[in-house]
Amino acid sequence: MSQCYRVQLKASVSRSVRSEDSVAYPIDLTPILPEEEMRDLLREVLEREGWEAVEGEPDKVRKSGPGDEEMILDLDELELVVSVSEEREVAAEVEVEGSAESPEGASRRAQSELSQRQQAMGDAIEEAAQRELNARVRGRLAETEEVRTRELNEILQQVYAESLKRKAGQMGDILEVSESTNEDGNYELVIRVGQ
Amino acid sequence: MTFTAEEDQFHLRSRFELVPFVARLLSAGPLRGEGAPLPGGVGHGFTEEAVSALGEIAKRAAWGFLCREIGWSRRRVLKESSECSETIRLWEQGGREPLRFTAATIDLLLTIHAATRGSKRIADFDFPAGPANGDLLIHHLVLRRLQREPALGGMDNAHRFREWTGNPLNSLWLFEDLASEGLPRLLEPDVSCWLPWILPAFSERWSDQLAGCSGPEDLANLAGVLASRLNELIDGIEQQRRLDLLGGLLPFFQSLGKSCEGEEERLRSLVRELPMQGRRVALGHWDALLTIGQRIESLRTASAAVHPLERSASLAVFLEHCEAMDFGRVAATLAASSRRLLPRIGEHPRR
Repeated sequence: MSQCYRVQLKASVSRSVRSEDSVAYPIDLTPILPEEEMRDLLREVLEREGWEAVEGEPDKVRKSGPGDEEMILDLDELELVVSVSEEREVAAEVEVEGSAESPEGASRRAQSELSQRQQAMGDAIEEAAQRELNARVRGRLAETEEVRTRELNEILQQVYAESLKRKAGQMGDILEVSESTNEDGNYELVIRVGQ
Repeated sequence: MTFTAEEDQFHLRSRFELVPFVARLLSAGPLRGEGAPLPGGVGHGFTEEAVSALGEIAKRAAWGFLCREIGWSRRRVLKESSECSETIRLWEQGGREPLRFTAATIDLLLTIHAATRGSKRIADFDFPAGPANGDLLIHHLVLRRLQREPALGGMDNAHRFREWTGNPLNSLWLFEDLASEGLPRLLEPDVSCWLPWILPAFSERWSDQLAGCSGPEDLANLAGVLASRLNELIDGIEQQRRLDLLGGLLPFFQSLGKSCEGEEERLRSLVRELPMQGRRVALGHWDALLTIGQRIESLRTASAAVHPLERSASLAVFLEHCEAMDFGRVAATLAASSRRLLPRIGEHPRR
């Protein structure tokens, strides 16, 4: 009569997943002043609003967005690139049992089963975590889009206001400047110029 | 005049087989049939009676197509002189620029008849449209019939009928390039006079096709290509200074304006799985359509800025169409939808 040996093995599986997404927005800068002057003005306003120069890339400035996304604005290309990346570790436990007529055989089977299950479990948790992380990263970019574009449009509004004042100054003496917001919430700038 | 037995047989078949076949082809009814194809070409000729019957069927079909879509409505169009406009019904237009047909239409109908009696797929044939305005309409109606019944020619959805797109009506219908010769033909007086009736009829098809998009790629293909075609058409209309013809496109944008809020939801769900940049690209194709609304609105505001005494009849008709449709409001709706779908940075407020 033969005897059956059973060996149980436990192991943990861990995988690291990373997801990143980015989106580029062209910046439509109306040329009220010469192009170079408009860009300089844009840089001034951006720096005033907390944007910092990117080291080694003089034409780029950066800032963290409302959802902690990285915003890099290229003043040369007039393009804003917003990117988000996240990393996550995921882990799971795997438990297998091997049986054979000898302890060595049971151990070998359990080992073999364990390595297969570890691989399968690792792939499964990685795929699920990757999917979840991708959705989360995209969600972060999408959810903050409105706030982000509003913030940038407000910056450009300041650039336009300043460039209009400069343009008016080139046309004559500025007699009066009044800034207000109308009933529809639109910014209004009235500049009276004397010849 | 005496005929050989073979010619007599041909005349009988043309009268009792081809003529009823064409009537079915241009309306509805079974097309596949038994028997040998009718031989066309040298040595055979239709009797005057058969030609007259075919001409009558073609006229009725073309006229029926134009009438079907508009019922009894009136349209503001330019008078023949192009110096003033008038509001007319379709049949009041008919006397001025009649629908004309050439032998090319009979050749087309005969070829289709032969194809339905042979083993070849209809899609294997190349059917150029005849040069007259009626030829273009019949050619278009045949295409629509064949497209409705893929079994006829073994045509599947992937078959884009490219060989049929020498006809600019088919190009617009199939979202194909209007090409260099197609657009000028569409804007020649004998065809352009029908555009106020044809374009609204087409817009229903465009709307249906767009509503049927089931994925971001479909959307990109259809919305993007339709936007290109419409831009080509508007380019031509602007070059010809015939803004009155834009009146035919306004119902499409009105319908787009009515549905755009619901469409936004659908579009967002279509692109949900795409990375952000991919979303913007896919939505950009749809946005290209919305932006055409802005383009027409810019033309409207520029036209409205011309003093009424200095406005051409074409401008006046265009403005009347816009006013009747409250196009300023439609354009504002489209612009708001565009901003929600694709937030922009630094967009000039007037754009």
